[in-house]
Amino acid sequence: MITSIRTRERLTAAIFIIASLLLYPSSALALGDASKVTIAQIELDEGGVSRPSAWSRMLYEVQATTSVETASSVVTIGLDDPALFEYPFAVLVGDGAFEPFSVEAIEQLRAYLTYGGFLFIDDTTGLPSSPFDSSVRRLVGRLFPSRGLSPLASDHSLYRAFFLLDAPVGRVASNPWLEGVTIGETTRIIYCRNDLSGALVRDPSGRNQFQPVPNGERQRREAVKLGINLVLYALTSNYKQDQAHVRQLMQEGRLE
Amino acid sequence: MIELLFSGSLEDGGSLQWQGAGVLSGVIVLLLIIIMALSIFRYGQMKRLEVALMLPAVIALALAVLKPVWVVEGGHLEEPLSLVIVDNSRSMSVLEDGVPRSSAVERLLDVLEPDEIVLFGSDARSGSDFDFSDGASDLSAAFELVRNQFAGESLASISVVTDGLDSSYLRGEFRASGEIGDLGLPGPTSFYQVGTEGEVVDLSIAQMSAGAFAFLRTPFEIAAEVEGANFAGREVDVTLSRNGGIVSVRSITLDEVGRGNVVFSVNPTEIGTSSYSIEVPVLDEDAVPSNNTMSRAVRVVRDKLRVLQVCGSPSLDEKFLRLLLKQDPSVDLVSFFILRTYEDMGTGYNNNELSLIEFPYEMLFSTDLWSFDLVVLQNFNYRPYFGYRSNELLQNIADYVRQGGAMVMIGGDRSFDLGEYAGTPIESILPVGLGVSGPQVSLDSFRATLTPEGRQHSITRLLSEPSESEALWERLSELDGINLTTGASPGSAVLLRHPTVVVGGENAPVLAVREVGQGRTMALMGDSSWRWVMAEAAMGHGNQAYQRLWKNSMRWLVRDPVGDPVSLSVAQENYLLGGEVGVSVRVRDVGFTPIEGAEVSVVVNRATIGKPSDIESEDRVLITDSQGEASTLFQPEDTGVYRVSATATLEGQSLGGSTTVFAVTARDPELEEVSPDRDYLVSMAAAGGGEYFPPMDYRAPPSDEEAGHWVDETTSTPLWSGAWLPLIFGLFAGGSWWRRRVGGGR
Repeated sequence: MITSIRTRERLTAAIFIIASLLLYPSSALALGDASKVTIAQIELDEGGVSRPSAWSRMLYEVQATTSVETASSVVTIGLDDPALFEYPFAVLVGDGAFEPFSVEAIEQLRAYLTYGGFLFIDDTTGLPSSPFDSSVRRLVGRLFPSRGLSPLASDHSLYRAFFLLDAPVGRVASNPWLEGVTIGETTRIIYCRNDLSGALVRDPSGRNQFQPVPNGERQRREAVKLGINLVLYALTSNYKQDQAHVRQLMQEGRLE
Repeated sequence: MIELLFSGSLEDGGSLQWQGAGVLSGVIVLLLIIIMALSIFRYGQMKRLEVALMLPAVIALALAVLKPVWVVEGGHLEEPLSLVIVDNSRSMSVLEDGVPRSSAVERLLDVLEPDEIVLFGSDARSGSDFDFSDGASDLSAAFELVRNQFAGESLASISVVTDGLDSSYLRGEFRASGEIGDLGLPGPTSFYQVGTEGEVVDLSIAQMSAGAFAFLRTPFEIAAEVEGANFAGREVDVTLSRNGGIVSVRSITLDEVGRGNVVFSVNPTEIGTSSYSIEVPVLDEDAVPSNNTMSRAVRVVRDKLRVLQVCGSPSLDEKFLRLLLKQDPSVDLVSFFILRTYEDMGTGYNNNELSLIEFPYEMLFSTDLWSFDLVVLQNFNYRPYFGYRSNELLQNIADYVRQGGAMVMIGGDRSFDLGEYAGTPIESILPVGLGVSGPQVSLDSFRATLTPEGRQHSITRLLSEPSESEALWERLSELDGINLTTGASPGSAVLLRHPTVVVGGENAPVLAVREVGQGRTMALMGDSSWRWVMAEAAMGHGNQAYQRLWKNSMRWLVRDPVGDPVSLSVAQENYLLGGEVGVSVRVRDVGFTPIEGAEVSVVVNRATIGKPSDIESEDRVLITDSQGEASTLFQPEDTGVYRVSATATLEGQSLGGSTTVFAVTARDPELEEVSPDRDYLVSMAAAGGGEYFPPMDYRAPPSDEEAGHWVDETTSTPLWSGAWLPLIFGLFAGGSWWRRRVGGGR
């Protein structure tokens, strides 16, 4: 990524780059929509999904802000649907208790996560404890009995996947950390209890549906940045832990 | 009486000696007397005639036991002998002005005219068959031989012809104490020095050090100590060779005592065993040409496979490849992903909010490039970043590949023609042609089909059984689209093709490989191979197909011998001359299953430095056992670098081959010191009561005037030998027995 041209000697390079950009296609030609990154939102037992527009907005924000080519819409899918494997980024959003998934669904989700799938879970209640939270912990316990959810460290790659983030905020900022399940060096499940979806969702008229608390629009901006980081982390995993990145970020004072 | 009876003429002045005299003989005679006496007492009525007949028989028997001899001692003193002791060791072959110092020996022998010659080297022996080939100079053994052979005599002179490089304890004691005791030899011992100190010209590699192991693309040092007799202050060219080919030549100046050190930094670019040799020139006057070179074999291993993954945009394809590479403990992955392009910069975020770093493309594709085993360009368009240095940096990548590197280009909307590689140095190394005039992509989903080459190639052999591998390919998920090309480049192999899209008259390549110079390239014209993971996982098959495809690809691209069907190894890299070299071969199929009954031809060649052509060879044919293994032993007959090649066949079909090398060295202690030891010879001459003669001094040695050579002329005449003795015994004993029978006895 070119973020700056630091030296005068590279002025000439910059001129060439700018000239190149003028000739560069304004929109990329992905090898079909199937190659673009999209999000599968998992249906819960009531047959619907919470805050569906939040994740369409997330795809737009990623497309606009990063080099990632995203699809324009989210896919809704049942956890026991084998088509889940076509969408390596999935989200599970809710606020109430949900019935335990079938054994087959659990086994499929375990295989999905083991072989590279990523699941983001968002508790939209924003409460320290909720029926949804209990269901989530039961689900994770069935998926990975020996691991369970654990807090993500403040230097987790998620917090520097694209933006440098200090805290994982959503519609609320009550829980200061995210939780997750890590296999090897990669976190396969990330669980947020600050209603990230609530900060992103829009009403049918296109306006933000909820006002983030306590910091309003500044908090929403941080929530969007967290959502972008989530997608980038799902695609690049611990890329930002690579020494080349850590070293330079520390040299530039952007990372301690 | 005796003369009369036994027809011998006995000289006067002699003496009777009993050769059979001894305890046993005495006991036998005593027993005879006792038996005779008992017979007389027991048979008191024994007739006198019987006794008279028995007595001569008993006397004859006693004489046969005691063996009387008539000895007349005599002799005379002759002229004393002169003895020459010649050094037969290899140091006598050292050249001085192109002439071996041993040439002085013949001339000295002509002057000294010895009566006896003793040679010494590894041992000592009488004779004149000197060939100056012994590996030691044991002068003490020669002295011991002379003491035993001439015990009790005195010789006129003993002359030792040597360069003084005695390897026995005598010289060791002299060096320690500066003194030499009495030599104890039977005559005045003089020493003739052959060889001249200061005139020996000898350039040699005294020592060479190189670790037995080195890591690929990690520089290591090979050091050598050069010694030059009469080379103080002179400049010497030192040559480093690898497997017979010259790598580097360095000039060093030897110090005031003729020594110098040289260190070569070597950056191995190929795994396997290589033999490195250090050599100094052999001059016409070089005393010992054989010590001018030394070899060591070094096994180059891969610490980790260093992979550079550069991706133009994070994607699902990039995600799964990174996951695979990061999880592989044998891979050291360096990733650079373009997370934001210039198009994405107007979204209101400032740089301080971002964790992005500058893409270090200049460093990566210039200096750092050569440290990688494999470069993966995944959906990456160079142009926005390389700018005005595009051609230079792309040329670097092409050069890197041609010189042994490996590169993969993976498809996407910023790759191949869409990455603007047409007409660049990269196109010249790709396995597919660029410059498509029509659509540059096909967006239809398709299932890639295996080509005939793909059925055979190690990359696409996902399972050991070909039929199972083909069935797996038929099952693998469809891909989402394909980058179109103009078709396969000359010399490339297409392993997978599109089932329907045709370019240049053939189905469009999906996966193709190519050998370029010493390197290899691969092109995957799609960005959805990740589906081969998730679709297989959905069916409960895990990600083995995807893993095997990429691991096969990496092994093939970097020429990893681990993946070779035939692996060849020697028990160790460096041998001393005389040792046996164990060679082992293992043959297996692509699924690593041992192949039994394969016929393996093993050829061992010795190569000369600077001349890769082989000059000696030895062939063996082996058959692999149930473990797919076979082994044999070789006995190198000379020092140097040896190349071992193995080729395996099964039922007439080639299974592949492999090569390795080993080095055979020998440090000849006899030639580690070549300058004559004058002081030692002077002291030895003083201790031996003789004289020291410097080189070219061919005067006769001092002689012991009183010495002489005693010639023994003693004569011995056996008195009781001949056929008459058993005749007398038989006649009288028989007569006595007959008389007793006639007289009624038994």
